[in-house]
Amino acid sequence: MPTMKPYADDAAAMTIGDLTLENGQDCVAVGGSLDLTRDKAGLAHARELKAAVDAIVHALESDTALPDKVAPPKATTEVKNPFG
Amino acid sequence: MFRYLAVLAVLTSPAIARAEPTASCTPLFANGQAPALLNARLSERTHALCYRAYAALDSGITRGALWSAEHPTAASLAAARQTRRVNLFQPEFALPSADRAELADYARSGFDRGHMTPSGDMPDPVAQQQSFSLANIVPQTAQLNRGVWERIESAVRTMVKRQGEAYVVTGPAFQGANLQQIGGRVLVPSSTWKAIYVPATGDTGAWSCTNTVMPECVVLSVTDLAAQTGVDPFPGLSQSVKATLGRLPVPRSSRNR
Repeated sequence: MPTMKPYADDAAAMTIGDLTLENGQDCVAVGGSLDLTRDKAGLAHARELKAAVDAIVHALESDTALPDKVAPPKATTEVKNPFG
Repeated sequence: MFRYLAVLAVLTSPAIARAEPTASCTPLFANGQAPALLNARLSERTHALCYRAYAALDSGITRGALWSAEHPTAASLAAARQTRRVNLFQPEFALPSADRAELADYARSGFDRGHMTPSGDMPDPVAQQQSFSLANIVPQTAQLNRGVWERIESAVRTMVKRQGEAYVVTGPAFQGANLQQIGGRVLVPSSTWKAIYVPATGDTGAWSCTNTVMPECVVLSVTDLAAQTGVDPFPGLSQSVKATLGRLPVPRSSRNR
């Protein structure tokens, strides 16, 4: 089973409940929502979330070339609508 | 017109799931009929793909899906709840390299990789990994993908759980004189849409949302959707069924986020 190594690739995506974390070399994108319920499932989700955030913090802290601000997205190109 | 791709990918990684034989996708379509393209220009350089729990038609011009069809049931969604794991976005190696999107096209593009058939609907690990094929993806703004679009996907799941099953087709629309392109290769849709047919009630309808930083969504009949997008999601249904807008929840377009 693949694992997600933050910022290592542009491919991995993981889910915790309805929360999605998508890996990118410049950004880990987080979307969705998550109920951390006061029960055993909530604890399991909370541990998964903590492990994911810990891995992200570790990757950023150990990045010796961490910039103040990541480069902005590449510009899109405008093309004529091929279906118009 | 398009031709169906047989199982042809040469696979080296167990993480990469292969396409399935075409005939196995017929149960994904309402009355067994795949979505139809009404705009002849859309039909150029298209490739039909069949996977375990969804089917897609991909364009070598847009380098993404033109439609993606699924048939979620209450049982398949219950199974999907148990299928939570790490997956890998991947190019669709069953497509000619000139006609497919690559991960690099989306990297640093400023756009999310928007699933057409949602990964959250996939009932098993193989089907879920297949939903991460870029053949099932189009560029969506983060505001759309992680905002109202997610709530539409959730509304569909609620309808399926209540009514037992639905046929759902999702795709992009390309409207306007000019369009944006990412990676110099992948066309950014002007909006994305999702059409639904609920057999238990006979309801049909669709949502369509602008692919912008402030998405605006409308609910419309399947007939109106087909006229606007050039895609008939349900050729197997009668015109009268498609012309009548059923009861669809209207998700709020935006939320403070």
